Amino acid sequence: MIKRVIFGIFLIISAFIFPWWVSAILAVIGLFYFENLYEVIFVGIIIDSLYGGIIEFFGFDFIFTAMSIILFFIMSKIKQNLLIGNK
Amino acid sequence: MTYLQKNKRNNRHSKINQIIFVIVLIVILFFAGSQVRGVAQFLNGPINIVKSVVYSPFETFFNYLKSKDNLVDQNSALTEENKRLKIELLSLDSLKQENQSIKNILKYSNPERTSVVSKVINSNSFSPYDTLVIDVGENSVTVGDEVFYANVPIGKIFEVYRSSSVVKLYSFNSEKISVKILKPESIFDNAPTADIDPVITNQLSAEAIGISSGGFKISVPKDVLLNINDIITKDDYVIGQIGSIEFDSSNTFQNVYFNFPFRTSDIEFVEIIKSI
Repeated sequence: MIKRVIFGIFLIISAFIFPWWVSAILAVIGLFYFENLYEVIFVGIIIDSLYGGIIEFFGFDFIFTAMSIILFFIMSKIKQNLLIGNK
Repeated sequence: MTYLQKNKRNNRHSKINQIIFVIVLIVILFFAGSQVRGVAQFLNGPINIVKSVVYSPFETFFNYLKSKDNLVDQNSALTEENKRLKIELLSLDSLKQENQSIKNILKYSNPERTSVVSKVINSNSFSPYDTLVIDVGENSVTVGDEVFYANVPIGKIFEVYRSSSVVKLYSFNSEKISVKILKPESIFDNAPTADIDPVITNQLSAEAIGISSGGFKISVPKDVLLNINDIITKDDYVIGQIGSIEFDSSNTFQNVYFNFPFRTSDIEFVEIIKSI
């Protein structure tokens, strides 16, 4: 539990202080390791908020948020099929 | 090997909760997106201040890991470049004086412009787009103000928050700007003759398209003769020099590529010129 909390906080802070791709890699690793890592979606929100909603899709300009939501669901499906243990 | 048993009822509840969470989040972002952005921008400044305080003692440490020979070579290259730039600066000063005296003769006065200097909080290497985050907000700048670095126009203010702003660089993918391609000789020509002004005849108006990471592409007809290092200007400010020219035998156009004359990831301070 402690590991989960620390990783979540570190992931959210990484979106502010590291390049976006570092946060993306950490998010993918975290999704494999932890169950229901909602912090990944917050990382997408932070990246969209910091660097501008420049690209719009039907009036919705939180593109990285949408991608992180899709990644969240895809990873949970992959983990189910691989029967990976959750923490 | 132990295989986990699937608990279908719990999984279904968990999935429904996740979907509800996502739907609520999307609705919040749709209707209150600007407020959410404001909160993230508000937190960004202090977090990056803490980061620079924590990181600055280690910055010099990583330099110790570079080899001594590497540092000596870099030092020599920088010294030579410094000498070359000083010489170029001398000719630039004389051109400025000539420009000012011509303006005085024509009784042309520069329009007054207000500028604001700002620190870059997040450079474009951190961003998935060609954008910067700077530390001035709605009290100092407005959307559309032009941003300069080393007297080179690099972009415009795209979003403004309470204490920070987002700058969209001109090299943003598919962003279009009007530029002029000059022949280098036109810069150093003597006073124009009575009939021909070399500055006007040796420049070509074109549209540059951003290709991200500080790069641009211009498509010009094949019969236009251009050279590597021809200077490119935007609104009379130098924005770059031609880096490469690409010919395609199947096309009637040639593609000209140029970059900003510096790495955009190295920008630490910018100047914002307020729009009139």
